[in-house]
Amino acid sequence: MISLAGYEKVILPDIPNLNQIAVYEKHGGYEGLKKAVSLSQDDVINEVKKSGLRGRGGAGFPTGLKWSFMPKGDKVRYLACNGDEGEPGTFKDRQIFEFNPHLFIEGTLIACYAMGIKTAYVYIRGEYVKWINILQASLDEAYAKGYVGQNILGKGFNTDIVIHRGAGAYICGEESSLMNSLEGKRPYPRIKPPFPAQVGLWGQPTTINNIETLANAAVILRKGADWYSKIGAEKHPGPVLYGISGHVNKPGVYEGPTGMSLKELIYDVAGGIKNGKKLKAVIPGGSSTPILTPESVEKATMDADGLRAVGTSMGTAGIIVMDEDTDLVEALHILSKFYHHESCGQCTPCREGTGWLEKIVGKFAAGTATQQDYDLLLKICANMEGRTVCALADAAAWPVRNTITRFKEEFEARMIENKNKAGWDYSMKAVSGV
Amino acid sequence: MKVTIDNIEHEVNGKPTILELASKVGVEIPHFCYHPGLSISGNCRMCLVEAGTPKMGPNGVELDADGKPVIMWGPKPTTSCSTPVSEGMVVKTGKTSKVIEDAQKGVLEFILINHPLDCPICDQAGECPLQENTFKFGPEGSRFEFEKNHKPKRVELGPNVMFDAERCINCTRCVRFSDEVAKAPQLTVIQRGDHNYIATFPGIELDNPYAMNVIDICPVGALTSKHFRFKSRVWEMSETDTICTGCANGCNVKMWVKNNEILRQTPRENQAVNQWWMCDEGRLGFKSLNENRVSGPRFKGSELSWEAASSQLADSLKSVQASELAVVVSPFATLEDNYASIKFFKKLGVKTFVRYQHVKGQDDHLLIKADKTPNQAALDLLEGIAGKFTTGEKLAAAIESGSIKGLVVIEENPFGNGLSDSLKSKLSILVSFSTNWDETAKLADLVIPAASVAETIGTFINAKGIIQKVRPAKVLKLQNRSLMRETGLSRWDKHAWKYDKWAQPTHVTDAKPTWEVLESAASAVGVEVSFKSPEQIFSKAASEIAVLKDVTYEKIGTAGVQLTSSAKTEAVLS
Repeated sequence: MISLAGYEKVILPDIPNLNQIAVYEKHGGYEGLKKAVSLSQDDVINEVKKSGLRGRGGAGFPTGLKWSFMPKGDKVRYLACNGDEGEPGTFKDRQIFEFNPHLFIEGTLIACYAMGIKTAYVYIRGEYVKWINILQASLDEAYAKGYVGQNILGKGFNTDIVIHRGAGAYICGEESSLMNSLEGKRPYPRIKPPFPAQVGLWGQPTTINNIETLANAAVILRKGADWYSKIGAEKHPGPVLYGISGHVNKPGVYEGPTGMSLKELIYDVAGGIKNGKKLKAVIPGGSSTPILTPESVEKATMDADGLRAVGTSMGTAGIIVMDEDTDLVEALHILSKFYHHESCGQCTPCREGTGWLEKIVGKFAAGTATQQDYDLLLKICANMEGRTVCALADAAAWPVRNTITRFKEEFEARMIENKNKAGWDYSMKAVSGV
Repeated sequence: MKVTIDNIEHEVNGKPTILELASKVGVEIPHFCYHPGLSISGNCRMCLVEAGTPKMGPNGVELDADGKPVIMWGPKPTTSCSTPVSEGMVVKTGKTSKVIEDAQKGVLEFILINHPLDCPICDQAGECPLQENTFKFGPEGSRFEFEKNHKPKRVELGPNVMFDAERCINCTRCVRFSDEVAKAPQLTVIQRGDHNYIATFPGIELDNPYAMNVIDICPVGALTSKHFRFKSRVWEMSETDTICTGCANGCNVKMWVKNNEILRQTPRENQAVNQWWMCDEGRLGFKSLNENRVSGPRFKGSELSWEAASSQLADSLKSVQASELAVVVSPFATLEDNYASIKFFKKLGVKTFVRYQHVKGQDDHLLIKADKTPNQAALDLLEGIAGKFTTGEKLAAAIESGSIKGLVVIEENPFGNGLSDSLKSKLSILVSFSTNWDETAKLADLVIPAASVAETIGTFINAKGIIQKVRPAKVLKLQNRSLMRETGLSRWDKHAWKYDKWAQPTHVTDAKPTWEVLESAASAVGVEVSFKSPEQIFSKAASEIAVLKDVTYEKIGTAGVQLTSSAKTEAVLS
């Protein structure tokens, strides 16, 4: 049983003014970078591979493996640091920017060293004005101290870090959209292959990492892969920032090891459900991850395998807690509205499907839906899932599919009797005659 | 490399995408956003297929119990437009895969939920990929029962293009065309999700010289031509494969005719000449083939019968010494008309043949040529027969000095190109074979109406030395069987009856090909020539001009023939 007991915080330690470089250095800051530049590039990548670090942005791809995909040679290459953080229920990168920006900068420099990158772009969502200013101030300090820029630590290694403000589109958090956005284009996701490690920003090899992932890389180099891989779940190790929101007494970002039980996080760490009410549902990793029933919450542990066992995924570890008074139909309606609003409109199934889903879920919310609407929702989801360039269509379809199946009775309670007894399929023309 | 599509194995060379291979071997994969001339976007999701590759084990390809390779199927359907084939790949299209069949139905249902379905009033109906694919692959109805999204309609994107955002399916073909082919990035997608549509950037119009190609490549009726909107249903027109004669490029086109009137021109694919495109100027150039036409021969303002015109032509030609007669040949006319004219007047004893140049601006990056004439290269070839051509300036001087007293103009317009009107009084005869009422036709004593490129058969040689053929899209009042043979008109248009619109004088021109008129006057003038049909004239010319030796009408077909070497140096007289 993995628990918070005895866990030592490394990403967001309780040290005041850690965003100041002097304080950061005093607490082991930039030691990881110094260690990294004393190793060969391959050794740094191997160290990250050995640590078992998996991306913290949602997909959970092994970071060391991703780094090793970058081609060798002199080709100009880029690092894009993904701080767009648009997933509803997710607010962890913001804490890193505010309380430990140098850890992220250090991790970025380690990644740049390991992959021979001379320019890293930090893509931050435009609404984060305060945190952009904090990060810029820290970056300026790091430049002044010679950690960033030319001839870093006297090792002849050069890297610049550039902050780029996003303009407020959820899709820009998708890695290939992010690259198009950085290039000044309309952020339509790109077709893969080619993968970014071959053809990325401006056609050059590019790696895209989440902010928290890069901060973890700094911890790995400072403390060693062996130390790191012992934290948390065996196959999904390391510290993780749990963002807990919703109907809990103490919502917030909490650092802990992976593999903690969801129950401990809700009832102990976040102080339990508000007003002593009962739990109704939990979304464990940002709004795209399938919703959990209270029975599943009992069993769930916060790591890839533990969550797969209950039919969901880790996502961004943004835990949304809903109490017994929550109207799940209305909650789903809000989520569907979000995905409809944020679909970039490139691919047909997502462009048209997200709007259609919202309209039908709206019928449930208005209490005019029938059994056929329920069936149609599932059919529309099936036509969207896996049929588009990026995963937004899946992200929009999964909440609908899982909420209406796992909480079927809530939706059935809103249905009215269907007057069209004959059933309704393609062979029937639409009732409104359109 | 061997690739299997729908259980049929194909031998493949190179590295085509699945969609390219499928279209080559005749397997239909529906698509909207893919266009062979544009970059791959993969956004319509209509061309999804299931694709798998042989599973590789430690000893190479793993085999199943039947000795066949074990196939690793992809986790989800893939876009065939963006996936290159690989050794041993197995592909299932909607024909053999239920998943794909359902995916195609799903995509079409999605596209149509916000599509206005106004096919009955849409110009694209009848040639609409969305309509066709829906009939072939779509669901039989819709399960959508909400109000459709509303978007701007009747948006003037530019001087020639009208946009209906509700019909738009966001395939971005037009955006990619503007960026990649026209090199004029004037279009973009705005808004998000199902509110997406195409717009020009602020303060910019879609006014590049190739803008109207977006109308052709639009897979729905979202982009329409302001010149053609609501003029005709597509299936009521007949289409003729011919070429554009607006400049020396000779773009391949289709001429669309209804009631013996050309309503539009669209480009026809020819990779050697114009790929899939044509310029707007050429596209709209058909108007002079409909309007302001010379119809019926005239002598000093009064109408003549064709018989009277022939004898009048003979009388006029005989009224001046052949050595005092000049003939203006035309880079706008067919090789056949020019050849026939040169042969005819050579035999009459004429020594002075005049050629005008029409150069405007510069060649651009794509199709537009500075040389605004379609057939200078043919005149280069004919120079060997006619003798060195005289320039327009020298002609003016010769008329001024009185050494030239008679002028015959073959489908040219010298008085509109630098020859002063005052010189007309120095000419005792001015005969003009004219298609339109231009300056020369208005001044001429005898005006013989000439068949235009839309009504005749003949060859043109473009700037690259490709010889191509025009074919009659319209019919003349007096039909010539040798022209009818190649006409692309439907039976309906060919054999109209008197109440049809096109049988009225405004829709039908009383003109003849120049060679036919010359042959009818030959015996009266005392010249022995035999011009029976364009093909016969061409074969005569081919026997005299070395580079045309092996070229026949049959070989020229609708795609043209690249002449072997530079026309000028190879021109040899028999």
